[in-house]
Amino acid sequence: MEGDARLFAEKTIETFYFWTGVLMWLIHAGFMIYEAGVARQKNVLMTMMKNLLTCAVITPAFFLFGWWIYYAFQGGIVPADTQAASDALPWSDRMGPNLKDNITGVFWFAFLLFSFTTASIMSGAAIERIRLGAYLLLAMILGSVVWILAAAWGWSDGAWLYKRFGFHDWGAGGCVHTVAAAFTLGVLLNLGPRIGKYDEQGRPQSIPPHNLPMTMLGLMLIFTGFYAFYAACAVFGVAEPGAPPEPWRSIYGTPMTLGSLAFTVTMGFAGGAMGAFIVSKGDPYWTISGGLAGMISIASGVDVYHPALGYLIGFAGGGLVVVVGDRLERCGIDDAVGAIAVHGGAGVWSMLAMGLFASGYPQHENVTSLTGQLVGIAVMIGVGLVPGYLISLALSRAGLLRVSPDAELAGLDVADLGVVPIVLDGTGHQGQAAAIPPYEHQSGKPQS
Amino acid sequence: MNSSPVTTWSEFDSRSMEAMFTFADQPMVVSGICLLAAVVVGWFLVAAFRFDSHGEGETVTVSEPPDPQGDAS
Repeated sequence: MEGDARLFAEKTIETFYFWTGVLMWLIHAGFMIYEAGVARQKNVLMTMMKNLLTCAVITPAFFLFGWWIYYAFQGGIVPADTQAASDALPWSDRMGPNLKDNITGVFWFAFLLFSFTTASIMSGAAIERIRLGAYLLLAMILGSVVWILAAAWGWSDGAWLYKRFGFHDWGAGGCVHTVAAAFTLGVLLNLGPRIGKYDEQGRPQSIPPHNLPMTMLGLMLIFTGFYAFYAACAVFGVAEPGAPPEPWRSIYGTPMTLGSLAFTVTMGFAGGAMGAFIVSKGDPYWTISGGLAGMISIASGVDVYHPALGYLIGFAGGGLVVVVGDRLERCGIDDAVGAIAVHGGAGVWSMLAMGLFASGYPQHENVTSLTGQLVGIAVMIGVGLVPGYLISLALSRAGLLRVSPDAELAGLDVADLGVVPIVLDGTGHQGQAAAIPPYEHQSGKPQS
Repeated sequence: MNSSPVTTWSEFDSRSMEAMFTFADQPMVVSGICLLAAVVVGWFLVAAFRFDSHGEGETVTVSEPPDPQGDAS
């Protein structure tokens, strides 16, 4: 009977993580719709293709080496020869159907969906001018090497940042959002802005979303999927026979409840949307992006924040990202979707807020502290920025990073796919632009 | 800012303290945070009312798309 109870518990855990992974696909449906809404009509289909292929290219890479990196590098830059690392190798007994292991497959699946998220953060920022092959290579490196190395260092029970500094990043505001945003910043420094984004004096010009309602719907899907993302961050354990009941735990092993997500993630969302509304003076794009920024701002301390504190932290985060987005644009960084502001600004704020407002929580041999969080912030930014910059620099020098100006002006749907965009004539009816001549006749002529 | 109501790992891990959120052992601080949150909500509502009225006095023309069936009547 004891064995039956154990197997039942394991099947419950297996079911829980399986469905968090399934629901996390909503994040990627959301990213696809969000970015397609932001892109101009001449680039919509290629933008969606990049989102689709992001998931495709990361999956085998994460199976082949990403999962092993997580277990092998928790102590630093030298891979550890541990049982857990061996079990994560793609030829291990555990990395496939195994009747004695209900857990590895669903854990791998949940982490894979986190990987998709990191690359999806980059995808929107680089739309309308990055080459497909360069983007997919960068996405694979970010999603299967860079973020998972940062997770090994700061988001695991053996993480050196946790063990040595008491770093606490419950919902991955650092290793997912900050790392991906820093990597994206490195890429954008080499990729450069879209043609027409800046005038001759270097002043930023508005390239408005072609379909803002679509963008807002995409973000609503991302919000929904993020509950599953956060639920998958909670560790659902089983007590050994005779041991006290096992609570939910953070990835560091600290006790928590799943209810803390319901309180704090939702309060963070509300605060973020309100903060962004006030600071952006009611701009729809920034208001809904502020909701996401609020959900990210509370990430590091979801397990311990009082909900009202989570609301205030989300409010500050929502306002902050509007300012950060504006500053980046003025500095010549053309981030088409505000990803660096939302994920980087709110991600760093998340880790900092944990140190400012939730120090003193015991972490096995350590306690949470502002110092620990500052060390974590520096590491997360460095782990993302350096490879993003260097790899994109190499691609740029080889002439492989950016599409030609002609292709960019014609639009990637025509240039890459030979697909003519459907343009509405302003009355809701399909207009003449549906009869756009072939790409070779469009050189140098922007279509929208 | 030290806001943890628990001080040792054994106390935390044993769950001897039920409410473990920030400042749970300082009810006045929690009340203050809630009050501040309420003030922020009020600030937001004021901004929302101002937003609604910032187009007052301007004429907005909305053109209806033409009826594709024509004016049959």
